[in-house]
Amino acid sequence: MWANPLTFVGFVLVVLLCVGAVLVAGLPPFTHLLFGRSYTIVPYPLTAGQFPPFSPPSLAHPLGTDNLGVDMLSLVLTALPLDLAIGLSITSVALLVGTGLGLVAGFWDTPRTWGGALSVVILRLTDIFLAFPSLILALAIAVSLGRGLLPTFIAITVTWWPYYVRVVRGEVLTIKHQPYVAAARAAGLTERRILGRHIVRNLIEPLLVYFTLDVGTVIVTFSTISYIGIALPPTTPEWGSMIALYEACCYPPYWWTIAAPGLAIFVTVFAFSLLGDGLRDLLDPRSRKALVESRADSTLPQRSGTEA
Amino acid sequence: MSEPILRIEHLSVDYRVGSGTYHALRDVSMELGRGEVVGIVGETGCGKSTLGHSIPRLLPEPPARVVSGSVTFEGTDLLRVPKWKMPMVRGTGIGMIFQEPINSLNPAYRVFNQVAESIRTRRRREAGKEPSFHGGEQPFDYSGSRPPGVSDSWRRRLLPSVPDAVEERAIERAPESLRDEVIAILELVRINDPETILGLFPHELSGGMRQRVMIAMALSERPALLIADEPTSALDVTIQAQVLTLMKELIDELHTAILFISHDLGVIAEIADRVGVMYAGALVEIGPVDEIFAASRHPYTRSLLRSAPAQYKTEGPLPALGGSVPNLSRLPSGCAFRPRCPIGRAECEVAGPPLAAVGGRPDHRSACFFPEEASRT
Repeated sequence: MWANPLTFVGFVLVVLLCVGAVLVAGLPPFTHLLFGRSYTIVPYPLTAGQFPPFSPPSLAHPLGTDNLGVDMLSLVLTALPLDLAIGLSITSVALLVGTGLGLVAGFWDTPRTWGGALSVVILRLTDIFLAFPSLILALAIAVSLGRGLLPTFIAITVTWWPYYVRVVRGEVLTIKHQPYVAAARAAGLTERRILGRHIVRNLIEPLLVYFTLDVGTVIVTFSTISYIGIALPPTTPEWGSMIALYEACCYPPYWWTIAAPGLAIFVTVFAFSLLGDGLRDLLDPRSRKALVESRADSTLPQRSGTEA
Repeated sequence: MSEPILRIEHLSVDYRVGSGTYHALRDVSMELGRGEVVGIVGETGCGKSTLGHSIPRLLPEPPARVVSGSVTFEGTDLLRVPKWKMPMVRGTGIGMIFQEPINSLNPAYRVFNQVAESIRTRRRREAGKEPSFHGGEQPFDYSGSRPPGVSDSWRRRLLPSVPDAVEERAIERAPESLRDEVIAILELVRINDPETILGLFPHELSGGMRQRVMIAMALSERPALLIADEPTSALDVTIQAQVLTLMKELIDELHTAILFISHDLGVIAEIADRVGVMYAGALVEIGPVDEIFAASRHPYTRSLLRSAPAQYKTEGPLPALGGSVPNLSRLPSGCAFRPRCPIGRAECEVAGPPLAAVGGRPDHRSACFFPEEASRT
């Protein structure tokens, strides 16, 4: 963790974002635990006209105010729980569905068996989804399901799982031909145990990395869809729809009105990317070793004396 | 001599790859007695590893396919056992050591967990929590084409009988005794400082140490038969010697039957009681180790022996055998060694020579029409 400062920055940012989201949402169990009462970190209520409209960024209003005199920082923070929850939940659902299907398609892919037939079906279905640009497909599904939060959620999830099937299947195919899987089979482990103890265990690291990197992408996709105006009514505080709203009413010349939500998206996506990149290095035992040894003096015990 | 632990009869294995059919094993028959060490030598691509992998049925099918023959282990024909029952035989019945110590350990687990996994498997089986096959006493049940269904285990998961689950945990885990046993087995393979090794990942070990851990894992299941597929080939010469010494000591201590596959004649000479020589998928000569090395009666064995750098002679190049192993999908008619044979004649092309007793000894058999002539080449 300390070997790579950028990873640390990403980690701190992600933790701050998550804690911030919980506090903003004012979830009673958490805020009561912390403060003994419901609590929120949003500085000002979102009522129109309490500040002069279009104040540029200042100490009192770090991100300025909008056409109605609402503090932009408060507005951006209010949208944080929604965007973060969307990012995490869509990615999680896609991860679970994709991993399950990918395991089947990768592990039981012997031709002319039931598993083989099933994996062909899964893979062709995946191909069909991957043949469309995912954003366009998500847009189309969201529109045809009727606009709104839930249809958008479903639409993105439906276009998102095939990537996980691809990733998981590829990893499973690599892992299951490793000599240690053959060794496990020779040691008398049943296929189920091999799947659980050897295949899934070695999937965790790449999947965790992929998941972390993906949260940001989902947030961008969701913001894009809501920017177009499909996901949410424009009055709902959400980063994408905020950009759309302020672009319509205030952008030239009041740049901070769209810079604020844009900055929020940037920081969130950047944080998850940094964390994901760092996790990639940290979670691989071999590169973890390299990281440790790259520090000035190794603290690992000497351990090669047994050969002599 | 009592009933052999392993009897291979007329085993033929094909690989069907693309257009061709490769005859990787052709009518191999051999026996392995209890506590006996049999070495298998031969050039690359002559079917040694295929033989080793076909015994516990670890060949990938397809492309491999057993055409005919039987592999009788402890009185059970393994080729007739339904596939899903094979895990019961592997590990505790037939153990295996592989060639690549680099990749044969799961990089995600520390040494302790790697070894503990094998010990847990054995404990589960010994406690009767998992079906296992020891052979001998009861005839093996060949029936049952259906593996115990997922539904059964799900039912067990959903409605677990508490004492059962606790007992299974206790058998599997038993932390202190498990740790002791792991340390004991690591000490058995002469790892000096097992306590520190326990917490290391495979990539933190040297090649020799990894191979020792592999051997420890295989031995911790106490197999009745151990198949060692070129266990020393990937190691440095010095480490190779250490591992070999270790294996020799273990053979004396444990009396496990071992099928030792190697292309290194020196290694085989050190370790084996009997030697089988393979060429182009067939066993061409088999006999006691001193007989094979001193009085071989097959021209292929003789040229193998000649090309081994045994004496470290400085003058002149090593005598090498010209040509290469024939393409296993287009074998020459008759004797497969005929094109490279120094004493081959026209009649060798008509029919392949059978593996017959030579030199007046029933335990020394050679697949050559002219064994006496071969012994003088």
